[in-house]
Amino acid sequence: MTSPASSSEVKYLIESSEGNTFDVSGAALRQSNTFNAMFLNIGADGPIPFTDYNEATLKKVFEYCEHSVNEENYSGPKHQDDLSKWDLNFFNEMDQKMFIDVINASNFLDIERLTSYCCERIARMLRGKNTQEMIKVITLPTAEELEAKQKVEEKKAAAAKKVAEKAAETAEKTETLEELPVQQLVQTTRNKLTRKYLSFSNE
Amino acid sequence: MSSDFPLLRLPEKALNLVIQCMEYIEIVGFSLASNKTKETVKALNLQITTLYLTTEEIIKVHVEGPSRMFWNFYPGEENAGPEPIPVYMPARVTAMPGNTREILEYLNPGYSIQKWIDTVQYIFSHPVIDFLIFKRETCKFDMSSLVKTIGTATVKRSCFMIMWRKVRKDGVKKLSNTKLWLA
Repeated sequence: MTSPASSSEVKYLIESSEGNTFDVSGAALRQSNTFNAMFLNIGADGPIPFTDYNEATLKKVFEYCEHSVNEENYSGPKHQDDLSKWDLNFFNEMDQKMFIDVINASNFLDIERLTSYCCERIARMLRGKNTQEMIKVITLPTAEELEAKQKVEEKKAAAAKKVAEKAAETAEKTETLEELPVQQLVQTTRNKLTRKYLSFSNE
Repeated sequence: MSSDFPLLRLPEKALNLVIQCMEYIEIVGFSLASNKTKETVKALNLQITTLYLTTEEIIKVHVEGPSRMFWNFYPGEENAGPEPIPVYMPARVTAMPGNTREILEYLNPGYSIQKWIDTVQYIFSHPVIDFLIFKRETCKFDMSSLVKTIGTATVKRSCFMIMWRKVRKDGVKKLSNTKLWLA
């Protein structure tokens, strides 16, 4: 399904929280530092599980990545006024729930450009406001909500660990089956047999 | 988008990015919102270079750093008694970033001047007041309450814009307890 030497034509299968899978190009996925750290050099032998996020959110995130494939490397936040019409439409058409989901997914996938644009957008919501006005906007969480947030963070850490384990497992398979040259395998087997033969001879 | 945004429920990295996109003056306002916001800002390890506290008709705080900030603390009517008066609970605060003329206004903010100074010092890890400036011939404010406002901060330098000899002797004596170094 995927190959380590990713080209822009290579497609990866992404699995969402609903268990649905969909294709994303390698070029778009490479904007995710999480993906780069886990799968870029080793490939994946099945759908990549980003199962903490629903399909709509992941599709929205990767829609942004697909769009910005040809943009120059990210070099810090751009002022909102400098955003293209497409970027503005992309943000404006999201409702608040989707916007928060996109930030969370983008943050997990570590897509710098998208995360920073989202954060700059939030900062603009607070621009020119005093403390009392900010308190009205930011909805301070209660103690219960803070506890629930901690649990979610723990769950996400566990999910990230699962993804990392899967990546490591794939890496191990790749190493044993693909990267070890045939000659080296033959030589290793030959050495083992020689040692066995010698030990029998000595007896 | 709705006006209620659950900012503090964002992942830590995203929340930090949001704060980094804010002006310093907004960051101070944000950190006054709750302990959680204050600690979040503190963890970013932002720095300021100089903190000025000026007393004249009103009390003013001026901060220099990557972004310049000015706060003016205005008393309510009840503070217009015979001098020296105690340092007042501000009825109105104006905040102005140095790069624009845009003024943020806080009406009856509910925070004392001391809390304002403490917060600025805490979030920017700047435990000193670099300059304590007296702009009047005699300080309008009662020295014990001024000392209380300064709190545990070390005053690096004090400047008397008129003639420092005319400052009430007892005032200088009390201020010396707050590690005052005369300029």
